[in-house]
Amino acid sequence: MIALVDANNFYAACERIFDPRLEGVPILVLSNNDGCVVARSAEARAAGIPMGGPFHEVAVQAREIGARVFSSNYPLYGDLSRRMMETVAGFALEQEVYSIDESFLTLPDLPPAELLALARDLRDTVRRHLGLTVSVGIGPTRVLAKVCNRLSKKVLENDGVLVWPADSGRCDELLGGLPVTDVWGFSEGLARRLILLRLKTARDLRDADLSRVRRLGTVVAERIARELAGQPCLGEEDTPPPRRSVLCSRSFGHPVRDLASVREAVAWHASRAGEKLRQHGRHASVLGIFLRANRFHHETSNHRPEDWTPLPRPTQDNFTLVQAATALVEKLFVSGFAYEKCGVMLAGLTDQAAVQLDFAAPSREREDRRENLSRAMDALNAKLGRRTVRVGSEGLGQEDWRMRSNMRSPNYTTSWRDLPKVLIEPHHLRDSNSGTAP
Amino acid sequence: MRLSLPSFPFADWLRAVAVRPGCLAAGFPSVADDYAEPALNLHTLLVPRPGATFFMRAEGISLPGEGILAGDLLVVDRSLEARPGRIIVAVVNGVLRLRRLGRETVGNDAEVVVWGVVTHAIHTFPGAQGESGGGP
Repeated sequence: MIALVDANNFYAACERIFDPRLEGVPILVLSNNDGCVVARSAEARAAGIPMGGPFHEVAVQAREIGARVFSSNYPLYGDLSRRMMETVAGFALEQEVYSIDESFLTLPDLPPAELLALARDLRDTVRRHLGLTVSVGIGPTRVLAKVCNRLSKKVLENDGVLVWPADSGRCDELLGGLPVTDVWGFSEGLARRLILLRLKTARDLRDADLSRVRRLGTVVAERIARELAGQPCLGEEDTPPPRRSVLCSRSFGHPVRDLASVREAVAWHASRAGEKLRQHGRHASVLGIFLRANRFHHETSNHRPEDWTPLPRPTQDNFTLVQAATALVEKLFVSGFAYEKCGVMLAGLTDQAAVQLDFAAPSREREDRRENLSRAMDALNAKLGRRTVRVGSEGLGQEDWRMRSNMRSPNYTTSWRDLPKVLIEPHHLRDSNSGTAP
Repeated sequence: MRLSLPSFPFADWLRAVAVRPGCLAAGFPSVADDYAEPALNLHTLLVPRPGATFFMRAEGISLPGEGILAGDLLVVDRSLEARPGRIIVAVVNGVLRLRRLGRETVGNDAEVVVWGVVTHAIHTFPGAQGESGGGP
């Protein structure tokens, strides 16, 4: 069975862990340069503050609802992401990190009641250990796990956990209530064409004649239809990309032991991730990498490091991405391990149009030229085959990047100077029971 | 064709077998493993559950009798159960507070939310951070 586990309002929840005064207060998190809203708490969402748009457009509304506004604190989010992934991995046979706050788990094929108990236990553990709330959807395929994850949040009585039912009547009911536009992995255009074929709900698509679906000219719809019927056919490589982040990863053909090879692979994933950003006209605020070392040899060889670094400003530039990614490789790589997989993740995505000028950042012109160059590289690679043109791995010279992030919370978990403070309460500390009580 | 066993340390192996008779049954002993002892690592001692452990700084009035001084580094483990008598980080009115969980308050003090259990308080003596004066 497959589970999709994701954190609810991850960035806002991270801000709350060490500042309990924020409980119940609407929270907005802004991109690196305080330009755009990249995350909201449930309260801010309920108040109708849109996601991804420029902050200045909603500043008045934010003040009116008493929202607390934060610059994004990626060291904090990255640390909590790493802890969450570790905790969640303890419940699974296998884990595939999907974005900063989502992962797919492979679970044993247990009866639904036991899966439900496992999912509840997972949810309670993450909440107790980290103060984060996760939603868990479990199903026989990725698409059904995603469907369950979505419904676990939408339907209140599910309480954040839903296992795909064994009873077929109940399955029909769940899929019948799900518009095809809400099924994971469809572009808007494709969803519209499905509706033209009178496939309005997920159930319609599941029961459709596959030869009809195939005539849409894409394999995606057919694969998703099969997955909805409980037939796994999406692998890790063709899983639809996360909506608010980008992930590029792949297993090495054979275990790799040297830094140069890992660095090269990560640089390649960073370029591919940049390509995806440019395709969608988006800019990333933060980049993360993960490495997986295989387990044979010692019991200590369970090496699965992950780390994140904020990008100087929201960017889609290959050079910046590759540079940031390879710097992280240098930091995480430990010799003596056999690496079997690596990946690059991008998050904090903003729309191109909303990116603001920043006088402290390198000249816009130069940035544009670099982005044009990245695009030219994409074009060459598309024409002449992948990896024709690549970013050399030599350093690009340190730029004096200065981020505008006036409202950033302390780096509670990654800086000794920023540790949360606890007030000593003398009258609540003395062990009264040992002295006076019987 | 020549068969050679170039570098196997037979002498060491025999000695290892001689002092620990049982190990022959387990196959070739790794000679190096007998001597390899990793250096002591304070982190593994103080933080057995790193995923759920956070560091905090105590502030306010020092309580030498309880072993807690202002400025101490606190190790807080969220995975531990808050039992009576344990020192905890509590959330009261939105502020993190250092308390001992009383026997009478268990379960019925709605205002106290347990954030985590304090497992260690680490005190640094003046001047111990070095001449450069780094650290808190």
